[in-house]
Amino acid sequence: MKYYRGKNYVGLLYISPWIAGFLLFKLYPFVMSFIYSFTRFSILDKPVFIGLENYIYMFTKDKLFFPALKATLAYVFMTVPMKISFALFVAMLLNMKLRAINIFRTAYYLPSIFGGSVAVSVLWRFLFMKEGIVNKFLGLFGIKAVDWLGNPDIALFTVSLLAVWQFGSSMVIFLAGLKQIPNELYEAAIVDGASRIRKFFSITLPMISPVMFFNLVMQTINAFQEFTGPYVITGGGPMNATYVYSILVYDNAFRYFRMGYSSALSWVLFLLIMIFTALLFRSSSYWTYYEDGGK
Amino acid sequence: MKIKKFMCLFAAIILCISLIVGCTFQDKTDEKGSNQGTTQNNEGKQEKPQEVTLRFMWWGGEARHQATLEAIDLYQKNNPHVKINAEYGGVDGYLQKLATQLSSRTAPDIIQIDVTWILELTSQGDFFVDLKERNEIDTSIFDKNFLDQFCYHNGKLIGLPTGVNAGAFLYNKDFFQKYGIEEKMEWTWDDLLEVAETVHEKDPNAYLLNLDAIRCYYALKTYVLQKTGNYWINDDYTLGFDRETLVEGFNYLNKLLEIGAIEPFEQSAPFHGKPDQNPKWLNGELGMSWSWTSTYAAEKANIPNLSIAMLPVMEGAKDTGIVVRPSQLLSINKDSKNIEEAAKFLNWFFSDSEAAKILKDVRGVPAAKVARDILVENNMLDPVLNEATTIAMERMGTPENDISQNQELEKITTDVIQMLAYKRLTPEQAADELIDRFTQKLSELKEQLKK
Repeated sequence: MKYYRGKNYVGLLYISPWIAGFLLFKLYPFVMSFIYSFTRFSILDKPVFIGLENYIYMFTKDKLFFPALKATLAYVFMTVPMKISFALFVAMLLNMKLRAINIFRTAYYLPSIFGGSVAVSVLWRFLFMKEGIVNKFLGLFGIKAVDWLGNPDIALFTVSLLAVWQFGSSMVIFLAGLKQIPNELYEAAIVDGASRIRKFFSITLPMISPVMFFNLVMQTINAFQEFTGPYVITGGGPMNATYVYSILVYDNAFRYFRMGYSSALSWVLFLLIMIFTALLFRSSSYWTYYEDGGK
Repeated sequence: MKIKKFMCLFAAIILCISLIVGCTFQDKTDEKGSNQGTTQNNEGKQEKPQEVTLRFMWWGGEARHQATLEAIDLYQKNNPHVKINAEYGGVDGYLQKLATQLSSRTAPDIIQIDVTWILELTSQGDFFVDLKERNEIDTSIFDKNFLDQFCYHNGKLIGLPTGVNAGAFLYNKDFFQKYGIEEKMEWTWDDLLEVAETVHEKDPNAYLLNLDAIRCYYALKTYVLQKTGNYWINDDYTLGFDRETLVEGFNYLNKLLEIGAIEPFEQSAPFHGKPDQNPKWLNGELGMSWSWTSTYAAEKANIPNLSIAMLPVMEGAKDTGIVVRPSQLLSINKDSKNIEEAAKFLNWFFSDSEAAKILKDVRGVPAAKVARDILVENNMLDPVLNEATTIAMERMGTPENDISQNQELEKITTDVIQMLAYKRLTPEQAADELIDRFTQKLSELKEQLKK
């Protein structure tokens, strides 16, 4: 016990830069935004306390609030399953015993290093514009050019593809999970004459369900806060089809300088993410499998 | 065990120190210069003026950056005691950055701002030096009317105009040649329809106009203002137009869309808000862009055969609705520690002949008469740009009031214009929708104003 306590200070010292960063750049803004959410505040002027007005305005008067919410939910429900299943698919491919498999693993992880950067988003615009490479490629097969970014019904899908393309971090976690599955299980299944599909559903999926759960939670949280992609690629258009929640927050904060209202919007988003995460946690006991019983 | 623990602690402390030293190292070298200045003063050898460092922030394109940096170099050479740190970039996020800097009192000494921000910024606090009080600056080199209209706020001279910026068409001469369009300075609204139709019939991939939803908004506004002769939104937050006129405006816009005068939004959507980056425009498949004279130099770098024409004015227009205003203003931060030196630099920047020759028209046609004369004498001013600016100055519309430029109203209008372009609304419905949303938003804004 004594030994442990002595080490404690050194440890704290080590992580002190992170703690300082957390207090300054995470906790302080977190608390302040909550306070600002009850004020009218234009960043340059002093905040004026107005009670719940921001929250009431949001639900009763803001014409863009519900469309933005809808777009965000659509984005989340589109991106998360696509990304996770794609990441799992690639992870299973990369789990095979091949020569130079590490090179492939690195290569497939690359898009995630580029991340949701602005440069990649600009690239996306040029890939998917009317006369872009994607349409040229489809043209080779005689498929008519599609307005990937100009059609309000497709634009959100195109934008979410960018997030799917950045499957790397989920993929690596899946890969680690797949490696944990004991080979005896598969061997036993082969002896029993199970098919590949049967093996996948009866062994692989249950065994990696905790990893799946982790990925699901993380990706859902990320998807709710998506900003760079929609903002840079389409600017929220066409016809607000990709006007996701964080663009609404940004516009109110930095275009209309309504910091108070914008803080209130952020807090509603925060609550929304909390609710969805709580739901996922609740549901997890029905479909995740822990060898030690989840204790 | 104890030694190991000690080592750990020691290593951690070293790391922390190196972190702090690493961060502050640069500052020290920076301060060296000014420290020398002060020690010299303390010793009483006051031959050299005190060394100062000024920060100068602006936005712009490549040409503007190069020229401004060159001008700064020259000034530093002439005034070795002044060091000017340039902070430049694109216009994206500039206002956001500035607002944050102003509120945290870390803004640069010399700041390029836009006229449309004056009301917004000054209503939030007193950030800028009243330049008419500075003896270092000769304000008589500017057109007095121009200063009065745009640069004063509550009797204070907030900033000095860098250039004259006027709404104008930029057009691609190659495009005009290709489709046999006659080049001319004057256009009417009907001309546009007529020419656009023939172009699109000749080549279904070509469109006369490069307009995104925001530029369509400018066109709509201009059309309506010419009919009403009013403000877009009155000072008392009521609409400056009636439904009938607005329907006419939307009808005209609709016609442009239907005859293929404008590239369909389905195609141009990725370049909403940045039509100058549209590859079709850069490749010469779009003919003319509803734009500003101040962007002429920058866009000419991409499209060598670019020229300028006047925006359309209808017969019997009550107001031309043509926006003529300073391209930008240069202001001095009230918190600056070297206001005097900053003012001296500004005066040099605007009136010195060498400076004028370096800066040319990278901020539009210079607003200061001396600078303009020098450029004309030296054949450094694009004659087309000069002519267009002169004509635009003559037919300048009433300067827009603040509420007419409100960003939330712009968002509403571009939303409605998109719904029109995507055929979700007829022109009549679009007018109703716009009036409806404007009325609601305006009453909200008015209510906030009261509090």
